Amino acid sequence: MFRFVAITLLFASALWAKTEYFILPVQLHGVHGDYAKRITALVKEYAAIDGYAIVTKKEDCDYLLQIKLIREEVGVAVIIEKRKKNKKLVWNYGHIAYEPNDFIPIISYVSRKIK
Amino acid sequence: MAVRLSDGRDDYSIYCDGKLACETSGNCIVKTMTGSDHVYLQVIKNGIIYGGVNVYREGNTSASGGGLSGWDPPSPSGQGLQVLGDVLTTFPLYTLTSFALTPSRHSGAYGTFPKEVVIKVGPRDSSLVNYPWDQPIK
Repeated sequence: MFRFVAITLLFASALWAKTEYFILPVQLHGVHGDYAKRITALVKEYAAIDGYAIVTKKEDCDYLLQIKLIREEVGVAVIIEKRKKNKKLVWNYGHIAYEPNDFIPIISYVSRKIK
Repeated sequence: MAVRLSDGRDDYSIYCDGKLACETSGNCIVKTMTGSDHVYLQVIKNGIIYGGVNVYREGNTSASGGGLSGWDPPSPSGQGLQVLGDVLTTFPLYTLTSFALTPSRHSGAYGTFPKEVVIKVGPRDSSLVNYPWDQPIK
């Protein structure tokens, strides 16, 4: 009986465990640092909505999240990479943003994909 | 189906339902060999999505999210649940009649895709072309 309860608890804790991400410093090319803060804040908001965790210590995370904002001819390319702790790329996504409000649907989509 | 971009440029690639359809956006003809009622076209350059559009048969075209259409491809999960619900509730009643009466999608009875599609690339508002990304947020 004890063994059954222990195994059940183990499975339950595994199911309830949230994936933990550490956000690496945003890489900027031709974009002001304010936009790095804005997009990072958005990721944190959507993490709460979609049920995964953003941790403050790199060693505590399951995955790294690398965000890049690169100025293009018109707009900014938003590139988001999900990497293992050894930096191996797991998944990435890139979408143009023509104004800061365009960050919202991009992060919403990415958040649902990585949760 | 001929695909053109609103900015007239030819240095993007066109993807149809996630597969490369045209290396460059100049003189792009997409072959729509699908039984589905729509295809999802995306404009991509250097791995960055610049736009996208759902193109439906019978000329019913809808862009999703304007310049950000690429972020929201058709959601299979929601539609799947809806379809599953429909099947579970109506299957016993309509099994025989629907199989007998529903025309094959491959027969063209659901309409054809438009001959030409123009995909919007660029900001919704022309004032955003020179958005000051290098300045602090006001």
